[in-house]
Amino acid sequence: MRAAASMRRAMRLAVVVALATIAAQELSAQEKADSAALRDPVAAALDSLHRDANGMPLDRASISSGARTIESAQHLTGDAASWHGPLEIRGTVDGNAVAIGSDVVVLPGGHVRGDALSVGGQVRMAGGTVDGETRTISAFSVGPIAGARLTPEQATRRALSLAVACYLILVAMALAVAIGARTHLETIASTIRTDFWRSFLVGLLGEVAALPLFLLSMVALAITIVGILLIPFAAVAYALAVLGALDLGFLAMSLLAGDAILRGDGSARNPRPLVTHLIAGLSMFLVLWLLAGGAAFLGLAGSVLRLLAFLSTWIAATVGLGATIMTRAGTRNALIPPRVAPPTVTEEYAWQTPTPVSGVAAARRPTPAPRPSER
Amino acid sequence: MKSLLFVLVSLFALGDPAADARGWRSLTASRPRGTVDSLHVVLRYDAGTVTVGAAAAPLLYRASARFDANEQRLSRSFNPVSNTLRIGLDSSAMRTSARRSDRARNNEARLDLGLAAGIPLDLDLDLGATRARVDLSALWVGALRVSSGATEADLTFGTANPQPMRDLFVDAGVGSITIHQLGNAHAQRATIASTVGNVDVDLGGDWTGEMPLTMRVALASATLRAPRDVGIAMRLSKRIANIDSDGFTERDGVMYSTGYEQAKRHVTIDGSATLASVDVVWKD
Repeated sequence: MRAAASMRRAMRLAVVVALATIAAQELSAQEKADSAALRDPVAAALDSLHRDANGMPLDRASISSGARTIESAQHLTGDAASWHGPLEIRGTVDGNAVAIGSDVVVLPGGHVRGDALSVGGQVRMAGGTVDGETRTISAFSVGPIAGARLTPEQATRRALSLAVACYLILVAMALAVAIGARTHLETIASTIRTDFWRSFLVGLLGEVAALPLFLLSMVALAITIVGILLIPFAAVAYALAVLGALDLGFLAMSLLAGDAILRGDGSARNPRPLVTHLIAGLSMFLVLWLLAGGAAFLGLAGSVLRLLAFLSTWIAATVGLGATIMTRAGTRNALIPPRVAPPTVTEEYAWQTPTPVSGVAAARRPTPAPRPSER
Repeated sequence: MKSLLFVLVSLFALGDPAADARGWRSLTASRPRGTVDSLHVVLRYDAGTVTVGAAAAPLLYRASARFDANEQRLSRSFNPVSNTLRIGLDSSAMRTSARRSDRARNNEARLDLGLAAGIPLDLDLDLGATRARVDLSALWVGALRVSSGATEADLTFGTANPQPMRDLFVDAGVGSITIHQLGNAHAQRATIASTVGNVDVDLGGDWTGEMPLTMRVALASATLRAPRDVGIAMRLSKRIANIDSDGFTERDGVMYSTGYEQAKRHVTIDGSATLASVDVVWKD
């Protein structure tokens, strides 16, 4: 009892430490990014403008801080840009006119041959002309766009959310299984306990055969018209069956893990609080994935942790799947009954016709040779 | 154990509430028509609401969009040599958790696109899982291709096309598309396809002569709404399909509507219907 309590305390502590580490690293990364922007905000804005799908590349020399006016007598051959100040165009700009954090105003006589762009403001046509596109965007959008690499902060947040979401789903399933299929779960767990490697091999075989079996069954259905109609349903049913088997098997493995964590030996005492043991086992996997998810900052060590979490989960799922297959989802005991040695047959009964005792072939009862007087 | 579970649920539920507020962006873009004499529009839009219509007179196009920069990428470009406008909203980086999807549903992305009237337009619209309202009234459409995934689309030809449309192709995919007054398109070749989806085609409009129409319907339903003065000749290859043929007579494998010979304008429908239903509804 004391050992179980200390184990629970250790688990809580591990989770808290992991979360605190991740939070500290996130804050540190954010501070670094913020400080870079503070050192040279114009350069940061130009970089964002360049990377934005609706922005444009702009030379640093073309931008000036505060309000800026291109006078009517002016003819600018390049771009004109302002930083946190309105850009007024009265003359001619051969390139683009850009205002970051303010408006572009094209006044009478003003002529922009390129595009007029405002970020966080507006482009106001007040009598001038723009040959190119007039464009306003409310802010830069250089978030996690398609194909872009996630920052460690985003990767961490995503990984943690995913791990917790999966955990909660599995906990819900564990509760359902504990209520509705406790016996099945116990049978599968018992099979894993007694025949781990055979379960693993069967599970591996099941994983390898899953796709070919699916394709074969679809082809078989496609032979007939009625079968074609059944294909969508069969595909969904097959997917559900595979997922269900994986889930049931994984829960059985989690139950065994929970046994190991909370009791040392799952088979020692019965009955045990099934739900608590299931959640303890699932929590062990959660901790692994939380550590792996929070290790996005750790380079090689993070990769090793992720690999470890993946391998643990995969082995658990494979073994569980194998046991589920062997026990037909826990409906029959896969254990081979111990062989009973045939009873020793004595000569005394060997003459009998076939019986459950000896199973010998029929034979004549030996009789003594007739006495001479009887002949 | 309960407290641990509580911490985890809280961690997952709270997430980053400011992220959504930071993500939404708006964009407006317009270009003067200038000397441009035609426009090819390539629109790839895969989530949210999209509307297409006519732009105000001096403009070649005007686009107004709202999107979540955390989950979507909106891009647009104009090639002045080929007069091609490309606008795309890509949500392939969209996060898949139900929590995020619910928020996205409440704050859907939107694009309103206005196009110049008076110049021929070639429209290539690829719509993913969107709600689309395409009103081509007052526009001169030279060619139109609409391809959709799970789109709920409304396609309207409110006024007669100034010149015949070279090609019209509409693929409803697994979504539903309603076409209003298709006759106004004056399409020289029109193809309407649907797989698992639903198409509702109104053959009305200001048109005369012959309207060729190819239909390819599979695991779907198609409804054709025809004015009473239109004669319909239908030659569809059927595979376990139900074609509402009331009022039709079959001759040489072609089903003719009643009074086909006397009708002043005719629709010739060919194509295929597989595990589908095709209904013809007459309207006054």
